[in-house]
Amino acid sequence: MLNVHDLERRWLKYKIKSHLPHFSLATVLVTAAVLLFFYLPTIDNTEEIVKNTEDKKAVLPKETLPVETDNDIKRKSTQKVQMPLEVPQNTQKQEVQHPSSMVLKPSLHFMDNIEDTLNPYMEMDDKEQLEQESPLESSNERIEPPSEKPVEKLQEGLPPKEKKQMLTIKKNEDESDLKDVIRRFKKNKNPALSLFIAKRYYALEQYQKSYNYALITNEIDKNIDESWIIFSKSLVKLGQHELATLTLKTYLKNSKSTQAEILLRKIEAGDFR
Amino acid sequence: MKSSFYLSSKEVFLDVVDAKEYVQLDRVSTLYQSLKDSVKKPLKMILLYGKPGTGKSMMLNKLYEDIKEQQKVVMYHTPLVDETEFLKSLARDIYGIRPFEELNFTQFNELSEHYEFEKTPLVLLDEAQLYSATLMEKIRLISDARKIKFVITLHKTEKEDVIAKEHFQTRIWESLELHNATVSELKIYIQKKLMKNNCFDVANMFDNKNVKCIHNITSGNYRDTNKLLDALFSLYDWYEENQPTKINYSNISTKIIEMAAIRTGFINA
Repeated sequence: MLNVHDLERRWLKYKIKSHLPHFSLATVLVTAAVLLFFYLPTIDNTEEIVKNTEDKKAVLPKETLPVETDNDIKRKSTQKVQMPLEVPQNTQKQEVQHPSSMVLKPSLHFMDNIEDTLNPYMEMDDKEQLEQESPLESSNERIEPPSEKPVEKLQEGLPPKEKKQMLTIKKNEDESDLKDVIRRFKKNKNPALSLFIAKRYYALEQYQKSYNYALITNEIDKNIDESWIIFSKSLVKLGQHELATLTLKTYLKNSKSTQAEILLRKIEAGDFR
Repeated sequence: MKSSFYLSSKEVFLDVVDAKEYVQLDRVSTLYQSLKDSVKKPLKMILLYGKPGTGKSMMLNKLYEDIKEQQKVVMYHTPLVDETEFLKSLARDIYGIRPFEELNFTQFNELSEHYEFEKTPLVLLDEAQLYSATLMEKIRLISDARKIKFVITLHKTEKEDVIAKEHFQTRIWESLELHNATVSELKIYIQKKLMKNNCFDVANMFDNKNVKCIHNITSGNYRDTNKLLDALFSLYDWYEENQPTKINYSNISTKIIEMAAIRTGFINA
């Protein structure tokens, strides 16, 4: 005897049972999709942050710059000095290249944008420079001429006790302390620090190093007069008078830097050796 | 009017072995022709094997119907398990002798020596896996004497393969394997069966989707298909009588196929 109603009921039960796995799978997939929809933006943001950080790191390579060791610097700077004057014209191309293949060369194409600012650098002798630069060691800011003036004033107005303190500061400015600044520069690539290092080496009469760091500063920021002046002065000290003169002349074509003009005149007159 | 169609359709799929209901399909037809050719060859034994419900008995029955007019042929649907009974049956059906006393194997062989036929008598043994090993050995010896030719059907199982190996390995015999129907074969099978019985409207209600559903349930097994369709048309008949609005006359309902499968136990719900 056919019990169709019972069969229909059993059939319904069977259909539900057979579709249950599909329904469960669909539910899981939909849930997963919804969760992804809500959580994906968060993940994306995190990835973006990480990506940005990585990009920044990529823009500022740490290990490939020629400041790694003193020997490297010496070797490269020596090579640099021996190069012909066409060096500055190739600088723009090198900026596009990967830092690992970067060769330090002065770039003079930026001079159109350089403002004519009076830098008190030329008026200072080496000893004053040492005294003025010491406070900058603790800061990452760029070395600008205006920042040096208050230091001078401060030194003039200081009582004898404070002068003793400055002597203490001088103590910290030896070559071993420079390593700390170099380390910091390697981390953040601040041109103020590289300029400071260049100045320090120049003051310590290590002209190859000062040349090299001035060059690095120029690579990072082309608009710092002081850097170009240190660069030229280092060249003179290294016996490259013609190269120094030529660099300054090329620089002055695009700049109205008084300091650069004064230095060029001094070099040409033989007053600066 | 439709209701009678469903009832007559139901009767089409009753599980009976009737040569008139034999449906020729491409693959089956080729096999059948091979079987007929093998019978004509001087073979001692022919083995027809396959899974239950693949049409072995039907083919054997068809063969019997086709050649019974041409030569002496005996068919045993039900196995004769007792040896004496088997030999007495052979003596009666082939030689027309009805021995009152017991007939042993030696006596049967002596008897068979006195008879000569133009064509070797053919004995068709269905469900041969049910015969005892001893009796199978006797059958082998009778066939060796070339006085009687045997066509036997076996279910293809591992155990039955062993029997086949043991008893027929050294014989000159031919083996033919039957398979379940494919989807397309099953569709032809169903429609041909229905049309043979003038159920044209119902035959046209089967489309590929329906047949695929049936094939999924029965795996193309002819016996299972018959059983399922019998239940299907019972349900259709009920719906026609009680809830005709639920019937789609253009197609067979998958729901009702599945209900029939539940009723017959193919689907466990």
